[in-house]
Amino acid sequence: MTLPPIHQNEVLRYLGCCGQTLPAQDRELLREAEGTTRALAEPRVVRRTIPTTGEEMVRLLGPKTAALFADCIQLMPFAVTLGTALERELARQSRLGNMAFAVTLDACASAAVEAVCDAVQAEAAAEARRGGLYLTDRVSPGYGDFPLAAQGEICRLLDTPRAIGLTLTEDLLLIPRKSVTAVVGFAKTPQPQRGRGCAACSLHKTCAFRRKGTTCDG
Amino acid sequence: MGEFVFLDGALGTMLSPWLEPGQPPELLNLLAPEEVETVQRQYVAAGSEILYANTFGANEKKLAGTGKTVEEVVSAGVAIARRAAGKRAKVALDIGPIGQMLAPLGTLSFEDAYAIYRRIILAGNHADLIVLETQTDLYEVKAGLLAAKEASSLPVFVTMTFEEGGRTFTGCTVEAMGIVCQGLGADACGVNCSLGPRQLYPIVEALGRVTDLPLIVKANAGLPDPESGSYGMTAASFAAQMEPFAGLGVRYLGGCCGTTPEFIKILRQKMMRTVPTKRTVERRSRVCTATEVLTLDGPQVVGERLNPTGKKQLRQALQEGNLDVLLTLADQQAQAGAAILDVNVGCPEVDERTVLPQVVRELQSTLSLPLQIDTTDQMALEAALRVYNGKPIVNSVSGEQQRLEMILPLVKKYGAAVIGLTMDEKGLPKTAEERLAIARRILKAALAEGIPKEDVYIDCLTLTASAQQDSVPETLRAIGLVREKLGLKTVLGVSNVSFGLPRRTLLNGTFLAMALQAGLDLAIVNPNVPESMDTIRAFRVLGGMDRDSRDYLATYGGVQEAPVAVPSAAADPAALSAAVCRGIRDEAVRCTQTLLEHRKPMEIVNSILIPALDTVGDQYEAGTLFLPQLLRASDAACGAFDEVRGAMASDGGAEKGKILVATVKGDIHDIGKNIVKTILQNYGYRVLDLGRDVPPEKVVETAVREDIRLIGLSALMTTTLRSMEETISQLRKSGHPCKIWVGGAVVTADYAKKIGADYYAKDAKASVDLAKKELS
Repeated sequence: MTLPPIHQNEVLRYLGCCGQTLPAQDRELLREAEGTTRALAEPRVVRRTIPTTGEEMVRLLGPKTAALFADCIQLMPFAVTLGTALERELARQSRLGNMAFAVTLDACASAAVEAVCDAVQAEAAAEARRGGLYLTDRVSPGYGDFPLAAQGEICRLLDTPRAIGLTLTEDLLLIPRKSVTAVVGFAKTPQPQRGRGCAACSLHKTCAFRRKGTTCDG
Repeated sequence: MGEFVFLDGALGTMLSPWLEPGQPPELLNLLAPEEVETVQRQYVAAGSEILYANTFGANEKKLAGTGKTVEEVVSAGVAIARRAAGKRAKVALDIGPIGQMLAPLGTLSFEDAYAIYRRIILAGNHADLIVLETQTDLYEVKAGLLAAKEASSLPVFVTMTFEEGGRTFTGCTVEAMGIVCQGLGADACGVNCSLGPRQLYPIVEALGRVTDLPLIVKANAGLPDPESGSYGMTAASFAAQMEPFAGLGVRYLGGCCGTTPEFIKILRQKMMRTVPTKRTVERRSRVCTATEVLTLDGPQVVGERLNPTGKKQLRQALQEGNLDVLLTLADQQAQAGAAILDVNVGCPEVDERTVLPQVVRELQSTLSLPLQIDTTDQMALEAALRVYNGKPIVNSVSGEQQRLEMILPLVKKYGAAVIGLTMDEKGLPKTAEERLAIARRILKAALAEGIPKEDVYIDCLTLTASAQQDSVPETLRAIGLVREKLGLKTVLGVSNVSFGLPRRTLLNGTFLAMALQAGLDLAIVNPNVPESMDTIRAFRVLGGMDRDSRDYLATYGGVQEAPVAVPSAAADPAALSAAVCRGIRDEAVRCTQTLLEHRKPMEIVNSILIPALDTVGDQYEAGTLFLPQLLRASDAACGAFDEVRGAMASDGGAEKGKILVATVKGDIHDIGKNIVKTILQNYGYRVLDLGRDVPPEKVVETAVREDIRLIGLSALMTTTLRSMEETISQLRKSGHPCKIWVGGAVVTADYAKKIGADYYAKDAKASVDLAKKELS
């Protein structure tokens, strides 16, 4: 797939920018980082639809998170990655100590991978509507009580190494790092848009925004 | 010989009815051996002449938790295939990728990957051949090939999985694969999976241009339906699409995902009447990394700067194990246009055998250029060749019999190219003819060892014009002779020629032009001396190699002849402070240069640079500056600091103390650690960075050896916090007196206390504050 537009506000948020006006130099830095992201990202997606009956779902989600999908008749685990070329450039810039560019590029890449997830989700939502169904929010392993270990189950189920070149380390890190695994559900009834919110975030104890008394949602 | 050999088709999908969800298909070798045999018998009946045993994922990582060992599963898999094959087919020990990414992208070490493959190969040694398939990482292929060659005498086939465009998921090109497989002694190589025969055709065509190994194609039944994942192609259209591979001279044909015994049967029927076209492969001199192939078809530059001889800063960095300096030098040379980098780490107090392979790895993690491994130590050479990903150049072997016997077997085993020096037991001969004779002897020895001619490059050796003026033309004449009489590529270190004379750049540039005219292929020079690159680029235009002066125009178009004079900055502390705060490096450097004429270096640091950084840090903390602005300011300060350091009488006088930083084992998220490092450096601390995924033992060993009293550890993931705890525990156990601070997204002050850290720092600013406190 081609890379969807990257939301600049999101990039700025990752960089800890809380509404300051940016000098020209920083706008240039952002532009350059976005250019590099666009040039090197090779977004790939793998998805599969599975029935919610049976053990597969519980094994995938763990009992607590499975409850979130109680109304669903189908689940769609999916995985996205931006590939190794961008990964290498991120590591290179950071290793060479070009830190201003490295952190900006890192933020751009994070925003880009979110944008890819949003696109996958939007596509699934359109399919749901066509079938008279409703899509749930997406949840990813490690958020809330969705165990990080589920990352392994999703990768196995989707055969991500073979499908999109996405692998997992023994410590459950996704490689390439700019990748996401997630699950959405197809339900018969309208689903509350829970948002991912601070409570569900694994960083809720240490988040820099919360320390300042704001949230990353602004 | 000369006929097609038919492989089998998909196995895993045909076994799925007997599998529990999530169960590795290889377990069926023990749980339902007769079902596996039944499917494989169908392939034999369809005409498969090589059966891939059901061992694709039978490695210790994928079998973990199943209660079964690699030995049980692999041995049973080979035995089943043997029963199914009878006398009609051969049995291949089938080995797929481990499933985890190797370092530097991932955390699995090359040595661990080697051990994993070795274990499978030993367990399956009763097969007829070994196949590494569906591979995407050339480094993993190298680990597997070395394991196969060292642990068995069976033939080895390699197939990798490419996307349209001819690269694997990890960026490996099909040409690099062909070059490396041939070099490491594979018996056949090719492609499998991911695409149908039609999409694979151009990829196989490209592969056939760089290797004369027999070719393998095991294609999917077209492209899968994106929704269902199923393959719609019929056996007949698969066979029709496979037919053109005969014209490329492909010898081994089979199927991958979506194919069945029916596909093999029809394919065989269709192809039986033809034979693969005989291939003629043009032998060219090539070196590569996994992602870049360099064909020597015109003069190229080998960067010479990664060599500590006569460079104090580099020597000190190597002795301390601080590789940042090398990476920066490497990057500068690559940016300037070097095509290959020479790497030499030989200096007192540096153990080449451990440092050289380490440097090769680090360079390959940030650089895509091929390397030229430069050492006289045979063990260091082998260690470096082993971990190099791609095909490097060995620098060098002389014509001495003993050296030839020591070095050439390594060049052959690891599939490298080699530089032969035209000197021997009797030293460096005077005349070009005598040097040619040595070159001829080196070539003969290389050929006898099985090293192809195109992988032997000759260095006719430069002498200094000041001491041995008459020998300069002899070197040039020798280049011409080696090229003419032996048809070998030549290489030359240029800068020696000017030693002892003024205006060395002038002599070097002129000598380089003369050598190029004599036919020099690889010039070992400093690419950051603009005149070297200028000469090469000009020569490529005038010699008709840079067609339409394209590269020349791209480099020099729009550049003015005379350098623009830079206005000198005022000796104004406020200007320096402002340049740092606004993050303008050039201006900060200029201001510092001017200020240094009037003020003491340390005064500039203490009264201007550090207060400016403090201001920026405070603004960042208050939320009026954001992270890239802080880092740009830091970069500007770094430029200023370099100037100050250069002006100090003794190196290190401006330094306030040593700090060690590392991202702990298992974690490769190191951007936060790198930010902290940068900021600390700009406050004048000497920071030794061990990188990411650092084992606890290495932190302890370095802290003790370098006597570092302040140590920072970072981890981003909850899953890697336990490595942080382990590192602290080992540091404490060692008895080394030190303070430890920790940080990273999921670390909290409470957690820091719990695992025995002395401090928690929420960001780079906090890290600086505690460094000030601890090291003042």
